[in-house]
Amino acid sequence: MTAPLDVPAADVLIGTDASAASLSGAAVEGRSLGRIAWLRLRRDKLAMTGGIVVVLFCLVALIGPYFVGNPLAYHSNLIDPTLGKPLGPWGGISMAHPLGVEPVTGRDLLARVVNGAKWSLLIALLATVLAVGIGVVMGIFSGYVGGWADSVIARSMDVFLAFPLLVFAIALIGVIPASAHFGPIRASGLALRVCLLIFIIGFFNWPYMGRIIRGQALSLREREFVDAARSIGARTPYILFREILPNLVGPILVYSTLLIPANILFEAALSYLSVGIQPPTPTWGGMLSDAVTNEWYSIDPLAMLVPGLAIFITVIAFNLFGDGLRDALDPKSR
Amino acid sequence: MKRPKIIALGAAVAVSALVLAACGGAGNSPAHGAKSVFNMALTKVYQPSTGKSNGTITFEDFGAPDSTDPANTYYAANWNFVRLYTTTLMTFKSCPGACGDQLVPGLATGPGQVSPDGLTWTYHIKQGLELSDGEPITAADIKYAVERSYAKDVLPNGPSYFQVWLASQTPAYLGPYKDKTPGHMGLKAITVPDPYTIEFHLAHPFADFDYLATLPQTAPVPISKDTGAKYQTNVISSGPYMFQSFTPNKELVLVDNPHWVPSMDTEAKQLVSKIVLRMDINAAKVDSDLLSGYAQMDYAGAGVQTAARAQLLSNQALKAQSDDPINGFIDFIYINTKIAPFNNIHCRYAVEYAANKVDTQTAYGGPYAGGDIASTSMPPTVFGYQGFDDYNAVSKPTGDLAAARQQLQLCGHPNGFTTAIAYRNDSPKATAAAEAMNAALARVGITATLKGYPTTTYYSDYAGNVPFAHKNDLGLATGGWGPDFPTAFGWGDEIENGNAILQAGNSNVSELNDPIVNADFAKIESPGLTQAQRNAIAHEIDVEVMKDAAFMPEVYSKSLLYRSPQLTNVYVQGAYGMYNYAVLGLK
Repeated sequence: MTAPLDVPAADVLIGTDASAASLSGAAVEGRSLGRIAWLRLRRDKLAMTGGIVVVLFCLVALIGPYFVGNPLAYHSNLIDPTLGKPLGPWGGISMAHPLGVEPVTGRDLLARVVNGAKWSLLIALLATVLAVGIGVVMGIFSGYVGGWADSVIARSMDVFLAFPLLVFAIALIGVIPASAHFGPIRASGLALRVCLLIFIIGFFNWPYMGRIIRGQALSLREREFVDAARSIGARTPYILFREILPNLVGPILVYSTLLIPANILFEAALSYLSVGIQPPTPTWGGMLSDAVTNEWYSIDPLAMLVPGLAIFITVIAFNLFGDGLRDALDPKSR
Repeated sequence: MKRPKIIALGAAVAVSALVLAACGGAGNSPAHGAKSVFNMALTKVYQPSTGKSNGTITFEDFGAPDSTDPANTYYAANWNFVRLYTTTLMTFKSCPGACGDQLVPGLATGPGQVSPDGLTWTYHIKQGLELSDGEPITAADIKYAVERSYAKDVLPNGPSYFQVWLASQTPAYLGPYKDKTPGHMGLKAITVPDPYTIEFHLAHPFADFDYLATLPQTAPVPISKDTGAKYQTNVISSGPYMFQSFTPNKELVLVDNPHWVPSMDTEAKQLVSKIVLRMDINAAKVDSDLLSGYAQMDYAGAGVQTAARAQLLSNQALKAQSDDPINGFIDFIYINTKIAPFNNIHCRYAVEYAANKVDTQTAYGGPYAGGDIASTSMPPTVFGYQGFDDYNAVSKPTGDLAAARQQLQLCGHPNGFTTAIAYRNDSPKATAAAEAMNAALARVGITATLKGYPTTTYYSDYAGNVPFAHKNDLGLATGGWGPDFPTAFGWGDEIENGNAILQAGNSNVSELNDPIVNADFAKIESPGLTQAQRNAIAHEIDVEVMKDAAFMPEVYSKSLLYRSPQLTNVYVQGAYGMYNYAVLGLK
């Protein structure tokens, strides 16, 4: 239906990608843009490794909590009370506790890191969805409509970008009420805090996405297929969401994948500053914070290594995958 | 010339101490030298010596004193430290352990003489004492020093006992800086009939007044040298050492005070030529400096950090150089008697029984750095303490779940209930203890949501703010308390007396308002009671408070201290729960 989609893609493929061009011409004709990108992505080993790790961690976060023990149960019998140190070598590693137990409390580290994945990934993913949602709508509208609407939105993006985000987040979470009503929905405790964290992380990240989308929309609105749609009387919403948006799928996907690790780190930072999810609910940032503030690294390095590695591996996997995805969808930016 | 002789004398004292120890049944300890043993400085003087050295004792602090001004400080460690350059009207006897809880005269010639109505306390001051500027110490200097404690706008940190207990006047006395009378001597509640006599006129009888006379606020301050808030940079000394230099948040250097008369002050010693306090040193570095001998004393006196704790306890030689005193604090959980369902006493009993004392003890740092499992509302360091165990805290330390379930039944919540537990989220130990409590209560179906608040506003805005606590359903709150002086009143009046409940800045977080307890607090300070009678009242308060289940005591707090082998005359003084800083010397 939207002819321009195929034409530039073919141009790109034949004109710039030497390896793709070496394929037989007939085979190239029949491939969609998505399929070409997928073929390119598959050849990128780093990106594929990143992608597999991401899928694995998401699976762990989704179903892992059902397979591990209770992350809140204390095991004082596994702790030397004098030093708070897990009994046995390597932080008390055993069949029942494959990653050992947490110092002082004796809580199972595997159970905590797996449950931590659930919260860390849930918050990071939903915050990204929120940031992308707001960013795309505002960016497209601003770029396409132009005029005073563009000025207002672009300036408000500048304001958001200039905001001392961390300070604001700490202040906002500090005054969080015990319970709140969102229309008919009443949230309290953990649920309310998770909602607020998602809101803060997502809401303050939308301008990054918004700026990119606005730039793309600015150039797309001058293209012939948009003119054509306008000349046959298409309304603005139709042009925005049926003509322009499909051309933005690439950048949206790429920047979302790169935003997720940033949000994981931001959630960890908030937990580290003890304004994130409250204990005893485990999060990666909170576990890291516990290990540092209680000096557990001096008696049981595993307590710090496990959440630290979890954050490190997830962030690097998302970044590798995002980079690979960008290369696959938009080889010119290489 | 003089040094060898003095050292020989020191050695002789050490040997005689060893002989005494041997007579006391210490067994077949080696005959040569005083062997260092774990916890020996709780009851004995380590390396006793009268030898004077030209050396320097270095104190290190992970932070800085709230103020070096004696009128402007409220930390136990600093009250201990200021005795190096101040002498108060009364003071604690310099001797190990509980012996150091006794009151002895400092500047005064004897304990206060109280009038029959209990309203006037008179002290006579030793003649011939001098300040470090060479001026004689007179009653006017002490009156002026106490007047300064009223100037909360200039010196906000110190305790407010004198404002509370001395007779008030109209208009209210606001400190010497706003005092228009000639010589700034306008406080009518203190009279100075002659230069060596001072009289305190009270609003109500206060039998513990001699303890107020030990506060640093009674150390003499000469009116001509007072520079208000800046006085802390050059305090005029009345103790064995005096200021040489002071750089805020960096370093304080004290040197010998030539005007101090050793024979008139037996509770302090001047055994080194210099004392240095280094501030804002990373806590872990304080420990390593102590162990390497670069510094001799941890100023804060609250015990070593996790890494050094592992080192001290796993190495026999280092453990022998350590002491583990009960420091007078209790860590506990406030159970709010006015917030449902804890307005039903059986729900409070359920918490007492369900708590896992072992887990909370480990959370606070284990049996050495955390403390002993507590079962009373008063620590063993308070006069009148007698151990008892109403809720099987000691006999079933991991919790008595059957008893807890039974109490839940009686309370009408057989399957548990939901509440919240407030804690200070910038304190790792308080956080760990709150988490342990949450896990322990979950075993009987009580869901206690954790709610963390910052330490600085914990009592003003959150746990100690009654409307906030009720609105947010803070049925439980972690807390810790240490007495300003080791009597039942000094311990419990603020946290247990129903008349002390405030809407904000409240320390009686349990909102305990038990007529028996309130009456006992009124009675215990009345004149004419013997020590035995006062001890009996103290015990009655303790029993009644525990019967009310308004507190869930966790640990009698202990500090694992490292005793530097370079120091002499080291021992833990009961009144401070840490080493006595006023008598230290160098080997």
